[in-house]
Amino acid sequence: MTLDARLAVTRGPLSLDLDLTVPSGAVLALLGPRGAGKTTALEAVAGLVPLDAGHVRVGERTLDDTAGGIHLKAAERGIGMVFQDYRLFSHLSVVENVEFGVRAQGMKKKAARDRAAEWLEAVGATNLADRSPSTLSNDEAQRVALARALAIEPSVLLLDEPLAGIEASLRMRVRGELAQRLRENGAATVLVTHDLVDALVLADSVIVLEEGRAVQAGTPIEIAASPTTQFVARLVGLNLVPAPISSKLGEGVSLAFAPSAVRVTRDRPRDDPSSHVWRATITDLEQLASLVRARATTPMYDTILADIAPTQLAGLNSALGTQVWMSVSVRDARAVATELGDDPIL
Amino acid sequence: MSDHHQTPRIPAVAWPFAAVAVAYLVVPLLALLASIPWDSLADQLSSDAFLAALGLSVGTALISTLLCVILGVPLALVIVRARGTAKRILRAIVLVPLLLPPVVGGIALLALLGGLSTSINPASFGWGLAAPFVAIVLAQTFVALPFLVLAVERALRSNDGRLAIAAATLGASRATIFRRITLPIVAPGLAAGAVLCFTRALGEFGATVTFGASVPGAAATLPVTVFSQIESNRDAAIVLSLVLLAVSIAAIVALKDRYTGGVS
Repeated sequence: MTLDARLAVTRGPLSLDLDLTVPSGAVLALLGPRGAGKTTALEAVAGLVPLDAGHVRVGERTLDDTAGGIHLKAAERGIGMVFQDYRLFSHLSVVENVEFGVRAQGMKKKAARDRAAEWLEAVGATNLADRSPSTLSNDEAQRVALARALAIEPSVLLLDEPLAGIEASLRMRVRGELAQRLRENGAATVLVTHDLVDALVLADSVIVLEEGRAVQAGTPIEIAASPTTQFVARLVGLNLVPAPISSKLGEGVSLAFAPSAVRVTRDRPRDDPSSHVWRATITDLEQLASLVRARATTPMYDTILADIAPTQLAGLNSALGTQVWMSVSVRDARAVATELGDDPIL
Repeated sequence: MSDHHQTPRIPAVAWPFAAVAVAYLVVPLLALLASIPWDSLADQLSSDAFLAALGLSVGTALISTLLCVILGVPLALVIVRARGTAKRILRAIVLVPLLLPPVVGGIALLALLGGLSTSINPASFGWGLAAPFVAIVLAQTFVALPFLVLAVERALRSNDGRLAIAAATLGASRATIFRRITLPIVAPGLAAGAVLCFTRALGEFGATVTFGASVPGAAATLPVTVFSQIESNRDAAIVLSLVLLAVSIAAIVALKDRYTGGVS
């Protein structure tokens, strides 16, 4: 069943207005910085936050419709949610946690216990069944929370930062396993993350959310290749700089390119239609493995990152404050349309 | 919970002072134990005066604890839900009996119910024989209520509805959430609060002696009897003190995980 929603919610400084459509079996990632309204969007779908305007429909079923005065309580929605802090019931064992929702749906004790055991097995947590939640590591707790949400066999599954609490050394494995489980599950899934790799690995499509609005949408690959906002550009490690006037690309066009594609020279390169050129002042240098990453600022206060070999650095005599020229081949820069003045100055 | 390896170092000078503090708390109790009148212990513990005092103290303290639960749990719920100034004011009001000298609490109750200017005899305001008993319960409830409210509020705050929300997304009704989630989570805090409350009520002296004991001998709870026996029968006073000490130790044992470490 397809999740179809328009979510308009105003809450303190946040004004969220977001449309989303997720077919069953598909995974949508809401990607955005802190405070963009990602969690509020999930809470609105779950019925934990009332809509100011809009609707939430799952298949033929209307859960919310402000025009029609319809608002189902969270308990009546049949939507599974995995909270960022997992929220396992501390006074119940792991298996009782998973059983809780199944029992609340009206299933008998014995059948509920069997269903809980099945879902614990599905997330590889059979051996945790009798443990107390307080004894679990974060990745174990995350799996139990997932089993608990899936055990009510929801048609919509919501995951709030499912990997945020996972230790860095375990992240790759946990992420891979979660991706596997989400692919096997038939629910329409919405997950919230501020991590691009999570979105790349877990999701079929991505909506980039900033200040309550969708600023970019597409497949994870499209988003990674052509960021249209500084937030995404930073996440994917690309420069996103307004095209120089000399490039004749016009206003509202920015160039996305990797720091490794930037050539840094002391003297102005010869005019050459096959590259874009900026004048810039080096403001920061940082050792990056075998390279040095230079941060430079153009006279228009745009930031350009460039990776330079240490040997070249000596030739540049590039102390902080040095004026340099930065150029990038047109082949290495992707032109993307951005709204002018939309991005904050870094 | 798991960062034993980063216990911060404390200045060396703290150790001797800490040792003095521990001794200061323990040595007087050891002195009390050393002065036990072994010869008359059995007689003291079976004397009519002792049994009467014990019965009165335990009876009134149990009723006071029950009253504290009935009044304190709703108050804790209100404080947790309250915001801003209202919350601060309610919290401050709850702290009053903790910080007020108990004798002042007793005088305040007298002023309210006894009419200080005309009479300081509670028996005169129409409760007849029940008056001392009722007066003791009122005094004990006054001083013990904060313990229950603070313990329950703490338990409610650490839950703060997040688990109830999770339970709602799993399809549980309000009634199910209260019965299966909120109540079991608050229960240990409530039990701890009730133990603290009972102990405080049992040991109540200042307000009781002011408010309840204005008729000589009518409010002979354990602490009041201890006080009245110091001159005439020191052995009896010591034995009664031991009983109160035993109750305190039992309470500390009952609360061990909640207030003496372990659980964060």
